[in-house]
Amino acid sequence: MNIDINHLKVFEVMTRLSIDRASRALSKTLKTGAKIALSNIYITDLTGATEKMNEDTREMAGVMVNFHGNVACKLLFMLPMAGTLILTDLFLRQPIGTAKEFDEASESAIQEVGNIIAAHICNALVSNFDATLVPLPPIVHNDYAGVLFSSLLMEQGMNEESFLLIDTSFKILKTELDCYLFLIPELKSFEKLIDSLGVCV
Amino acid sequence: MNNNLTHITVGVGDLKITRSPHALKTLLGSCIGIVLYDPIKKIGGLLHIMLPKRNSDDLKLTKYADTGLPYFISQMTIGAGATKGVMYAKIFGGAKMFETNGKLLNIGEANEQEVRRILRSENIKIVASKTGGTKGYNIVLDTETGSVECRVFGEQIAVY
Repeated sequence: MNIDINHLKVFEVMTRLSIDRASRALSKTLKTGAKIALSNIYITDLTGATEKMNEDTREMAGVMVNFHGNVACKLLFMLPMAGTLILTDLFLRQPIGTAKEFDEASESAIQEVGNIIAAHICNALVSNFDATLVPLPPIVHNDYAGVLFSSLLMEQGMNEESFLLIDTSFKILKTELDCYLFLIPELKSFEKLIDSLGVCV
Repeated sequence: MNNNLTHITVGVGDLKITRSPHALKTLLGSCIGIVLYDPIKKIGGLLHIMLPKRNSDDLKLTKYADTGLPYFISQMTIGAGATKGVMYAKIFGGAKMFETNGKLLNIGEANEQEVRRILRSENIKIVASKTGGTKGYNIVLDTETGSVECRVFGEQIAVY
């Protein structure tokens, strides 16, 4: 399949619907405004994508989710270690600054964020686009931003050179939280999604 | 590490060669970062390989040790003018990393073995290495000195 700008526009609409739903669910859980905004959808190659991310050498906590079904994709949510403490405080309804170190509660908080985002993206795609999508349990891993990102691409990168990358910005209102959220659908899955819509572009 | 150096970032399956006063940096998980350095001409290169052997018709040679490393050596010598006889190697990375399904991806060890085999066959000495583990590596090559600053996630910086 040759993906052109029209295909990407269709996918942009689908992604916006999915992440809006995830934003609302997360806002409800955290009892504060959480906004996941779409930054960019683009086709990139392994070297280009990882070169950009390897600029970021911050230590991060990341949660990865693998989706099985007829629309396979992967999700990575990550934020700097200091940000996980804020997230922990928000989850535990305690004043920001209470959590002092990354512990089981922090790990659980970031895992839950991954779970919420993944579940709502799934729900949106299943209900709106007749996809079959099942998220596997989220895996939390702490490492450099670029290493986490490379791990996400690694399995697909063994067989494919191009990736469809969905880059988002993630903001929690009134709180400075600088996060990454990436979605990487398999290119074959992308084709299935387009087909399920009956779209001719 | 000299802070006045211009840093150039290397991605996965990427090769960059430069001269002093530049620094080459990358982050590594299960991939291996191979540094080749000519201390006389102060030419340094960094290859970031992802897999040990090319098993398809993938045209990206620098993604694989068996095709990327010979290409790297030729680019250092024929391309950039380094002298093979004085060139030495340093290798980093090869960790066991988590896959998105939670299993450990143990490609790092195979990557390292293939890199060592090729360097041995090319008579290029490995003067330093830091490999294995389960965490990522942040490495920076200073082309002025040939030294490599390496920080494994959660550990102190070490210079090789």
